[in-house]
This record gives sequence, structure tokens and C-alpha cells, in this order.
Amino acid sequence: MINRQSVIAVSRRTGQVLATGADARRMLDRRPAEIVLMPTLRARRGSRSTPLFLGLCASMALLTALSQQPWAAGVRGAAKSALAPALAVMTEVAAPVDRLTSMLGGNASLRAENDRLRLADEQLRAQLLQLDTVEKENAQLRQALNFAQSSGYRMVAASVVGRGPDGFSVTMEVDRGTDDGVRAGMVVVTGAGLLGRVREAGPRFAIVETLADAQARVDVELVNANVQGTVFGGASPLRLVLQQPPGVAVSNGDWALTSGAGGAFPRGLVVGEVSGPGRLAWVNDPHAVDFVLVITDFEPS
Amino acid sequence: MAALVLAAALIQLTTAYRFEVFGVTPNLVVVAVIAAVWTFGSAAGLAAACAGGLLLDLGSPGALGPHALALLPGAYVAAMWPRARAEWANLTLMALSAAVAALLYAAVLVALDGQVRLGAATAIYDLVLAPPAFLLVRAVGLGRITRRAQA
Repeated sequence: MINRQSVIAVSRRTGQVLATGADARRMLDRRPAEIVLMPTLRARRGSRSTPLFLGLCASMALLTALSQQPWAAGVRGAAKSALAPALAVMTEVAAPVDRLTSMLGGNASLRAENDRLRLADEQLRAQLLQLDTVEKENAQLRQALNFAQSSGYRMVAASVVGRGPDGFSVTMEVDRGTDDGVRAGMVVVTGAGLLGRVREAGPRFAIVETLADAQARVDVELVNANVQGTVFGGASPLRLVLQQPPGVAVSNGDWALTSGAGGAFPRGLVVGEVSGPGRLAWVNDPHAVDFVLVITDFEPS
Repeated sequence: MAALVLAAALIQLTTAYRFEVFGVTPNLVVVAVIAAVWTFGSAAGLAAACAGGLLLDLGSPGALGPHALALLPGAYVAAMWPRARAEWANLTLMALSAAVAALLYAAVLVALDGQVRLGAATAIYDLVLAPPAFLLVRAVGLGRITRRAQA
């Protein structure tokens, strides 16, 4: 019955309802120019949810605008801090599931394992580079690869409890915040090298924008070629744009360290290894990072 | 429904990256919202979009609200989406509505963020995930309603 009455035939000229349901459909076959069929149920369904939709959109737009205000930062931080424990619990719960999927095999797990092994390999190569650097008494590399000891930066260790919800913000949430001395803008590293910087911090959480985010930019210098350039964030491999003087060759395998130019990052942090023209293999894989170090006493300019 | 949205958001923020295929991760909150719309109706679906979006906002940098704003158009369109009598046709329509919702989600975030990166691949992923999610949510949701009615 509902389907039969789901359309009405209306006169274009007078607006009068001429027929309903099956009768209206039969009129469509003849289709006089002045008659139009209108779906009634869909129109009614739309009319019911449209005000609610518009009201919710207006509310969310207002919330978006208000929560960006400086005076709302405390409330916003407190709300985000409240979610951090739930994320930490969920991460703990998911860990055995991940191990189980690894045991069961499958392409995704194998690929993830491969990525982890590749990361481990890169970390070992970074350590080899460190040893080589020590031998050559290259102070710049020693500072980059062993910055915790050589530079004396104060650092806060933090566990990764959450990730950005989609590809639009390649971020990760860690379980340390302003209560631990972590502030927005601070540089975040792992044992392998530069990871990113703190974009937002609350009392018990901080959100780290990684180099995988398209908005990330880092000034670097290549160790062997002694050439400066800029690394642009995005999907791996990262894009590397060099200020390459004529006659200077850049070979694959050259290491890129932060140059310290502009004062955004400390000088000498390992960023990655040149893997091709304009390409840099980042030493970190944000999917494989579980613990990070936040440098708390470097003030970016 | 609240538990469904909460679970989807927590999984999205903690473990969804493990299901990456060709660099694309599914958006489980979009799938949950669309399943809620098709199971419980437009009002419940819009509420789920708000709640799920706010949870995603809590795990993202920046303001509270953009992800909720991004989910609402998809829920609204899914509420307007035509229904079919045949089960297979309904599942197909539902999957398409999930893909459209994922595209709208990406489009709104692009508009809010000012970046030109559209999640078309995510839409395809969600299109595949939506029918089983809908069947699961419907089975659980209708089962509870039936049990309440019998009690």
C-alpha cells in the first residue's frame, strides 16, 4: 500500500493533485505536458531529517569555530586528554590481535613485518654509520646519531597510543603532555632519527605531526655531498629538493641530516637516506613506531 | 548504537592502520554511521555521525567538530538514498551510499583543510566493507529490539 501511494500526479498549471499511486503511474505513461509525478515518501523523509541535519551542521560548525579560539584551548585539551586513556587501553587490547594476525600470515601482516625488518635494517645501518662517524671524529654525525649523549638535550619518553583517523593528517597521539613538560612545537625523535614535531599538547597527551604529513618541511644537508636541501613530507619515499651546485654529484645512500637552517629543528638529526633522484627513504615508519622521545629543551625559532 | 560508534572510533584511532592496503586505510566510522542510518533511521544515523566525528576530533590535532561536519553529509545522503525490496539490491545500494559518504567525508575535510587530497580509494574500501557491517549491525540491532519486544 505504501509503495502504491508513493507518488502523486500534480497539475503543473493549477498545482492540484490529480491522482495517487498506481493511477498516477498510469498517467505518467500518457504524460500530458501539464502533469508531473512527485515522490511523496522520499519528500516526507527528507523533510523530516533535513532540519535535524542542518541543525547539527550548524552546531558542529559553531563548535569548530569556538574550539579554535585561544580561550578554548584548555577545555579542548582536557577533552582530548580524557580520550587518551581509552586509546591506550585499546592499543593494549589490539596488540595481541596484531600478533595473532602475524601468526596467521596474510599479505598485510607480511608486508608489515617486511616494513619492520626494513626499518630494523635501516636502524642498524644508521648505527653502523654512527660507528664510522666516531672513528672519523666527525662531530656533526656524532651529534646526529647519538644526540642524546652528545648534545645533552633533555628528552621525555612517550608511548604512542593513537594514530590520525585518516590519511588527511598523518599524526600520532602520545601519552605525555603539558604535565610532563611537552609543549606544541617541540621536536620528536626516535632511536633512528627525526620523527616530527608536537602539533598540539594537553595535560596528558600530545599529538605529533610526523614527516609523513604533507605539510611537513625539514631543511637538510647531505653528509657526503655536502649539499643543502629541503625534505617535503608525504608518503614514503619523501620528496627531496636539493640546492645542488653544478658539478656536485649526489649518490644513492648518502645520508640526510637536519641542517638547522631556520632554527626549526636542531642540527644533525638523521632524517633519511637518498634512495634516488629527489627521493629520500625516511628512517622512520610511523606505523612501526611505538615509543618516541620529545626534546624538551630545544626552542624552535 | 553508541557502543558501535565508540568501538569504530577507537579502532579507527588505534588499529585501523594495520588494515592498510596499497597505502589506504578504511574509515570504519563512516561504515558504522552508514550501517546505523540503514538500520536505525536517519535521526539515529545523524546522531551517530556527530558522536563518531567528535570522537575522531578528540584523536586529531586542531578544533573539535571538523570530522563530525565531514560525516554529517554522508549520513544525510544515506538517509535520502533509495531503498530496494530485494536484499541484494538493498545491500548494493547501501554499499554505494557508504562509498558516497566516504567521498563526501573526504571532500568536506579537503574543503576545511584546504588540501587537495581526495579519499577515493577509501571510498572503494568502505564500499566493500559496508554490506557485511550493515548485516552485522542489523542482526545485532534487530535482535535486541526483538528481545525487548518479547520481554
